[in-house]
Amino acid sequence: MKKIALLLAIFAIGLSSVFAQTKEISGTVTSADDGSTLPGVSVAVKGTTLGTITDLDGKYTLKVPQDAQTLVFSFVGMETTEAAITGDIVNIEMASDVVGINEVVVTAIGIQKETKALGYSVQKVGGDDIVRSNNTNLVNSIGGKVSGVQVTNSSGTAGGSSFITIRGMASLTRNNQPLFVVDGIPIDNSMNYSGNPDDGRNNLTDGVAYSNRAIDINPDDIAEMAILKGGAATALYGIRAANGVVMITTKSGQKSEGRSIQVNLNSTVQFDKVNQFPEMQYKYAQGLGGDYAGADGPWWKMFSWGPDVSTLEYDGDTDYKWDPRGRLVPKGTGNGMPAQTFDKKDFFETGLTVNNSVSFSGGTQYSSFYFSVANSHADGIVPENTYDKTSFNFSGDFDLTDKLNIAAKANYIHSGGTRIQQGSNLSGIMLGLMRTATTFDNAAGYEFEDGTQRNYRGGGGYDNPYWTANKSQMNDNVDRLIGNMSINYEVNDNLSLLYRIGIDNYTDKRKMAFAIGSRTVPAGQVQEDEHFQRDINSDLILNYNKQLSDKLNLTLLLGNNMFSSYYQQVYIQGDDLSIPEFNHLSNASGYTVRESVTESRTGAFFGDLGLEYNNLLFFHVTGRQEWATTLPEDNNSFFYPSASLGFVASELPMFKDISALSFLKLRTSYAIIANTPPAYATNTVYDLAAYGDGSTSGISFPFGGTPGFAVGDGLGNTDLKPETTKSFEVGLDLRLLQNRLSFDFTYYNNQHEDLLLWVPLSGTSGYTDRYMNAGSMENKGIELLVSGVPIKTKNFSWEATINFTKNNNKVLELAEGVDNVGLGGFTGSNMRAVKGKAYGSVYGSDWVRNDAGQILLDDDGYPELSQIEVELGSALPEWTMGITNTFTYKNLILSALIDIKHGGIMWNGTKGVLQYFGTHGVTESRGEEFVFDGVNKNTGEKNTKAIVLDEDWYTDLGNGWYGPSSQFIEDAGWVRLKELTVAYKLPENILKGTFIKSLTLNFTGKNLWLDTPYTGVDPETSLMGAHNAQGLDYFNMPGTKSYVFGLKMSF
Amino acid sequence: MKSKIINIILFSLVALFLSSCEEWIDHDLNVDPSNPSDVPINLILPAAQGAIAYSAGGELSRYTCMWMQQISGTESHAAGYEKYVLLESDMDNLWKWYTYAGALMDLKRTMDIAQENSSPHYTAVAKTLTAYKLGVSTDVWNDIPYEDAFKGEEGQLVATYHTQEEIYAIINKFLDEAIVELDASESVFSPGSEDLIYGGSLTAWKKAAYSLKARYAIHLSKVNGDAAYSAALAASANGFSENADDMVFTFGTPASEQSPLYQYIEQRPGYIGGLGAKMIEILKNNGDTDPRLAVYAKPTTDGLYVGHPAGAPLDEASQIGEFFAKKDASIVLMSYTELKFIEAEAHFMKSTPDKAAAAAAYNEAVKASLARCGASDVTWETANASETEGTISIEKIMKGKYIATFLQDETFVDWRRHDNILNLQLAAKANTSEIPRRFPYPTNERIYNSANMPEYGSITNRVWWDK
Repeated sequence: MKKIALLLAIFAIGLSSVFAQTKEISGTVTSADDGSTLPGVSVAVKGTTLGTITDLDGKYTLKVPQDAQTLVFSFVGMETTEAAITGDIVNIEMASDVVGINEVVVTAIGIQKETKALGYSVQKVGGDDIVRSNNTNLVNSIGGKVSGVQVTNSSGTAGGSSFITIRGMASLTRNNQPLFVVDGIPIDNSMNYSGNPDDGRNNLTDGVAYSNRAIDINPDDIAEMAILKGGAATALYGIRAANGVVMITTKSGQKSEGRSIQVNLNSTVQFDKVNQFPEMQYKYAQGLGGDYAGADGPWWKMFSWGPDVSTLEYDGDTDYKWDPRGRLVPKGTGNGMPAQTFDKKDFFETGLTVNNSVSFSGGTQYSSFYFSVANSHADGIVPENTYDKTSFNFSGDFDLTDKLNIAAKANYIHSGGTRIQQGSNLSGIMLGLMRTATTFDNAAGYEFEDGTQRNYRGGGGYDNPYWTANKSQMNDNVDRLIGNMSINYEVNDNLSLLYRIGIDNYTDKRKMAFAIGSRTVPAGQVQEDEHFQRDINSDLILNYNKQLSDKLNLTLLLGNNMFSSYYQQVYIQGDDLSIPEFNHLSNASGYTVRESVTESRTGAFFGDLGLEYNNLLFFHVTGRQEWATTLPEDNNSFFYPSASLGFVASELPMFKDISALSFLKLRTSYAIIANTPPAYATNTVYDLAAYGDGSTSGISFPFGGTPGFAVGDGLGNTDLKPETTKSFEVGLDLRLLQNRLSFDFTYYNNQHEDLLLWVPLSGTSGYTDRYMNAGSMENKGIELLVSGVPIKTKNFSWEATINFTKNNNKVLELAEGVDNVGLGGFTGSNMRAVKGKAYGSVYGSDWVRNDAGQILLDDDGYPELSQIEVELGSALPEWTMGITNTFTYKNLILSALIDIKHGGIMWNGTKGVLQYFGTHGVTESRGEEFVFDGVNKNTGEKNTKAIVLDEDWYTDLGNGWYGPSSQFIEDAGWVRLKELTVAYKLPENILKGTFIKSLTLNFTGKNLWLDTPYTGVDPETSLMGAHNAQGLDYFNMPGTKSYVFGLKMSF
Repeated sequence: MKSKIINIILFSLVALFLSSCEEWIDHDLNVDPSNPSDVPINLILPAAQGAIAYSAGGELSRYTCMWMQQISGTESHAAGYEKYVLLESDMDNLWKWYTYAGALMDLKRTMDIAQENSSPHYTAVAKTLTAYKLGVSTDVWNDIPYEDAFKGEEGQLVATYHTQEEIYAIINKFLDEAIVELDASESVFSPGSEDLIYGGSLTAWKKAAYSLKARYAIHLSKVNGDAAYSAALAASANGFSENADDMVFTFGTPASEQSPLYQYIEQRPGYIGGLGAKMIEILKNNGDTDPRLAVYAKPTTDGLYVGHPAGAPLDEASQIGEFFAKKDASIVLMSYTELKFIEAEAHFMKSTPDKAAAAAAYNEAVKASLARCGASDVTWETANASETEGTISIEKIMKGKYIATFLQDETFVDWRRHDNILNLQLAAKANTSEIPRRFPYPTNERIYNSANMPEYGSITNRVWWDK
């Protein structure tokens, strides 16, 4: 480590001794299309980082070295243009660039590179696209727009999380989500669970919808997002970027004299509705065996296996407190008021989200600033569910001298809301709602005057969903500060030095309450759960740029990175409350207190050497040596290299004359990237003793004042090493007919080795898990981006973009002697990584079958349940595709994004259980006959015996409790109209003379149309939120379709 | 000049990084601050006892007593258990977190630390509890590991299995050693108030060790015959002498201390539909209604005592009584009443029966059972706990024990040893063709110890002693 540092030092000093005189250049930049002046154009001295931006009138002034030869002008949507410095005044015209070969993207460590110079695939999403998508959670703005990326929005809950992966799952049990970097500073995107940490393995399915912390970033502040997918793109970032990087560049002010402050205002109003809901039956009343039972009836009759609703009427008895209309009695014996059923969907409300943001930006010749305030308030589709976010963002940039620049940025966010219990426990709203008997009206009140609960099971069973919404809430309160400061020193034309330090610091204070009388915790419970996270990131970067000859250019970057992360959770649970509705710890009579701390650091030196030859060849090698505290001390560092090559074939003389060929580039790259184990995986410890069993929450120590510690479950491993990915990528970028048609194709092959995972151990080892380098996996795939402009006239244009992703994942090896590793889920239906199969295979129970896979049936035609769980399919899609069509007519834009996911299964656990309760739509045709496709187990002949699908069947093997989960595996593919946007920008002549510079009205519809074979809620759902185990639906919240109306103005 | 200054600044900056980097990667940071790496044995023992008690009153009790139709599983998964739908994946908790990486590992650690610290009193208690846990485990799983297990820290991640016969030898060896060690005159550490079963009473532990010896002797009645009975009788002479000696673990009223049965009923309402029809039938027909009926069961809304027939559609049944289902209920690991039933059975079954002694032991066992649940009833006892040499029968003894060991996995052992006595009928809609005679091994072993795990075929197959 010392050696490298020393080299860096010598290098820095050696290069810093070159200095030069300066002169001043000025000029005007105009558009070649219409002659109008172009503000905001970046003007730079070629081969240096010296530069400025044109002012509102397209004018610029720039001090350049005496020997400067060429200026480079670049602007989004324009072809980058070079002009020789022939005098003090350089005026130029810029032509528009249809697709943007010369566009610039932000790559690793915040380095801006021209797209054409890259040897790997980077795709970006522009700020306008993000704003137009109108998502509170910025992760959702990427979905469907970028090839190789899959985004799963876990629920229709306000403030809910989203899960994102790039090029498939890279790790078996570690985080599979990319690193989020905002203006060079990595930020935390954790989803922190709540609940008693003792429940450990069981608490994933408890609780509320939490947020993934990237939700804190204000989408309106984003200028652009670049998605770095492959190893070569991310290698400079080190361990945290093993799953790709989402590089976010926020908006900033512009440095120019005499410009007024630019004010932007964006307001949107969004309405959400449930988009897909399972079929329910409304034909049969509450009861069992065809007999009616009311909420006061015996608990064992609280199903929807009662009589036909049309044969019943109310008796009007006001003593029957469970329904204001009275009890149900056979027709002719009551008051004549026909029996009613109550649509489960009525529980959901129309969600409303209001977003307002305003930003001010501006600058002087030497400084610029950007300031924004944004507020968002959302009412979810579930009563009482809210989410609020307010953010303040300030960034400033100041040239102290013409060589020394300082910049600082601070983003403060206050977010949080009221979240409703939706886990798989007795209080989960979907459980209570969906199981409710058809003839019970949840909305007629959830609480009696004496404080007891009104529900369809006479106060027992599951919570009335309105009770949960009103009385079992979790409030979270996040205060977050993301800030950075940087100093950039231009030592000379060729050399600059940047130091940047950033901090991401938040506290997430949560309070969860279960009211007295809640079914989960009848004695009442309050939880105070505080999460504190602090990440500090420091970068020292040296940039060197030298034109070696008129054709060969060299760039060199050397850097140091130090990163530290500290996380603490303090959890206090108070049980047995005395005073109703007083959700305070002092109201409890028993306490469980837990504290957990995780701390780690990394340090690294890195470098990037680039050679560019004549705009034809672009070659880069990078290296990064990294040290991590979470690795064993005697083996705590590793090196990862990358190399990439971009070959712009269209620069070759043989292609230059082909006018149809605008651009052709071949690119290839290879990288080795790595990921470290989590903190403390080398430790074997004792745990505070706690015992539950999956069905009960169990006991924990201290017990009656006696402390107790047990040998920990995890066996420490001091032989750990980093997991690595060998990433190979080859691609082609082809643009034809003046960029009217373009193809971008990538093939990648990622070999993941020494995968780190918690390997479950045989309990006979004395431990249950051990963190090990135990597995290998591959992701091979293709990404294809096709875009074209079929029609382009003066007033009308049609642009179409298709991105296609196909990823093949295969688990190659697991730990010795281990063929599969559990990822999460339930007994009877869970996700596993299985050798030879794709990651995330769904495993569950099945019928007894013969070797040919046929179901074995007895002489009456009934199957038998097998003792052993088998593979039921993979939750990963076979391919995904996003199709965007954008039509522009003058100032009117119409854009539609169709999102297709093909393949991938989902376990519809909701259906299985609802069949048992007799509320699922399938049970409406109760009594139908069904012949199992299988063979008789005694004779081997094809089964012809029909069984009756009736109450007996559905409450036995036909249910999802212990009946085989294979019955509830469904195709979860879809075609959806993910986004439909209409935007109208008021013509400038209308606004002339007013203070308004521009005004855009827009409408966006999200998920307006969905076509899927899946019979549950919207299959874009995840039981465990932003978690590796996807593909399970057990009373998941429904998804939403949204209507967004927006107004954007600038002054 | 200017460039020199810059050189100096640059050099210092880099030097700063250089020097701080060595300290930056501080491996002391990777020591888990939230969990200790060493704890004294008096903190491990209560944890092991908690694991033993919670599983005895939890999963072990639920699965076996549903199969034995003492209680009825009526909703969701429990409705499956009652119909013998018990999957390998249902076994993981019990095997991993309660048995191997649970109580047995903690007891092994306790023994090791106690040994190093010359504390025979502590090793004795750990050995007695280990013998108990091995006993209940082998009785449901047959062949299981022990000697080769718990070697994770040495890098051995799987263990070979012993035959059940070998496990029984280990049980007896531990109990014999414990009996000797409890008499040791010196012990650096001795169990005290942290002992949640006997509060550190060595006398009580000794009686418990003898009583367990009697239990595990009579378990082998089918394979050892007379030798089993004489061994049981020899051990029981030094065993429990009154209800107060019982080996029980008492739960508490705070939310984190409540009994497993209370939690199951509370958190999984309807899963236990009530008492089984068999249990109610036996209680009702034991004399003119056994006084324990009103303690074991609550009347239905109609004021009746009704049991739920195994596998039948849902219907109202009597719920489990407060004495067993309350928050701070006690879980019985071994009792005086069970010991007296063992004596009665041994006296009756040995090749030269002593029926008078069997009758006396039976009468004492029944009275003790009534007394321990507060159901003593002189009139009823005079009529029904007054067997004589002429009236006592093995049916009475085993039915009596079925009642007395309510909610204990011991009933599943006794049924297998005397399966013609209770005449249990296969549950309706059973998923197997006979009542199972063992548990499946866990998925955990099938996946992670497949080389050693014996194939067991079906859960209707028999364990070694169940010839």
